Amino acid sequence: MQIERIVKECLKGSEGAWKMLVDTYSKKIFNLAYRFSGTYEGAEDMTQEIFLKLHNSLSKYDFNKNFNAWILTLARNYLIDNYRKTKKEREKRDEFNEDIFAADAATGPEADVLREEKKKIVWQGFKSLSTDLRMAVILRDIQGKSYEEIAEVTEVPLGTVKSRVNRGRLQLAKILQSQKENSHGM
Amino acid sequence: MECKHIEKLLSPYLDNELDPAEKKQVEEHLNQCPSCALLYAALQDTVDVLSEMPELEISEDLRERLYTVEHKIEQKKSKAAFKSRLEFLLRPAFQPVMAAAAIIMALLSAYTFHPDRSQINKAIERQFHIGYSKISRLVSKAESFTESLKGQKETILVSLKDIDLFGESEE
Repeated sequence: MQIERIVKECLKGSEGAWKMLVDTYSKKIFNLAYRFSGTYEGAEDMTQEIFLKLHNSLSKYDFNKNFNAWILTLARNYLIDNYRKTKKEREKRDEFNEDIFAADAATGPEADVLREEKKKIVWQGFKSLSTDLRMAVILRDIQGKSYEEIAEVTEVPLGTVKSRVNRGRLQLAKILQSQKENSHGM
Repeated sequence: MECKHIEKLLSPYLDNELDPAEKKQVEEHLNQCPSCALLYAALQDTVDVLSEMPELEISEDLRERLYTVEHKIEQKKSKAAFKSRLEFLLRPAFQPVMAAAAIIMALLSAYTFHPDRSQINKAIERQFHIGYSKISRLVSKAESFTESLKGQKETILVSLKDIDLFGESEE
């Protein structure tokens, strides 16, 4: 079924259509929340909140627009707002813990130790990126979106998106480089 | 200076987004500058590592929660309705009433839970009696004053008539 038809059925109150919408987008939204927040449980709660928001604002969806971009924009706005609101609370605890990374590592048995170590450093490096840079890098390099799609989702010009991705990548690369130098120096 | 400029071009170079002249410039610089070459290698590693981060499956528990998100909304709505029904209590106009109620409650609880309540009762009774006797004394004083006024009514009237208000007696 086309996504527009699913949305129309949802608006009529169809439970089946809502489940189809959940099945289509939940994984994408959850992964975005997980990569952005760095906590598994937090990402689950955020995904639920995003779907609550989606349910409430589905009637505002303009059928002339791209639904994929619309739902991702909704998710992105929620994640960044929520991140800013909970800043003080988060400062008290260290996020991006090892447990989450273990879940990743388990899915790539062929990857060597060095690769996993690099993955770990980059993953931890996300903490130091600003919300805008982090979001741009996740959408581009983890979710594989084009620059044009990211510009639509983040509602900023194409040039800004490219600059954010470049700066985010460079920041992570420098973290990786300095960690490598530290471990060689030891 | 050149390294700073090249640094900005590394990511677009990786994405193959540079024009031929810039591309050549980056390549020539990377051949000469070991620190930029190392940074470029780290950038390549970073992008590779990011692209390898897998997409995780969502848990069945979360899926169920998302399927039934409507019920959550209803719960939230009923909670909000209950909250809005009680919201008048939080209005600023209601604050003096709340403050008075709080004082009364505090006094009442102090009275109720006081270990020596009979003493308080006695004190209250004593104060009540003192007050009562003061009032009755005042009332009796007022009565006797009224009586004495009645007795002298005639004398007062006569003396009032004798008062020369407009200076007529001089004529």
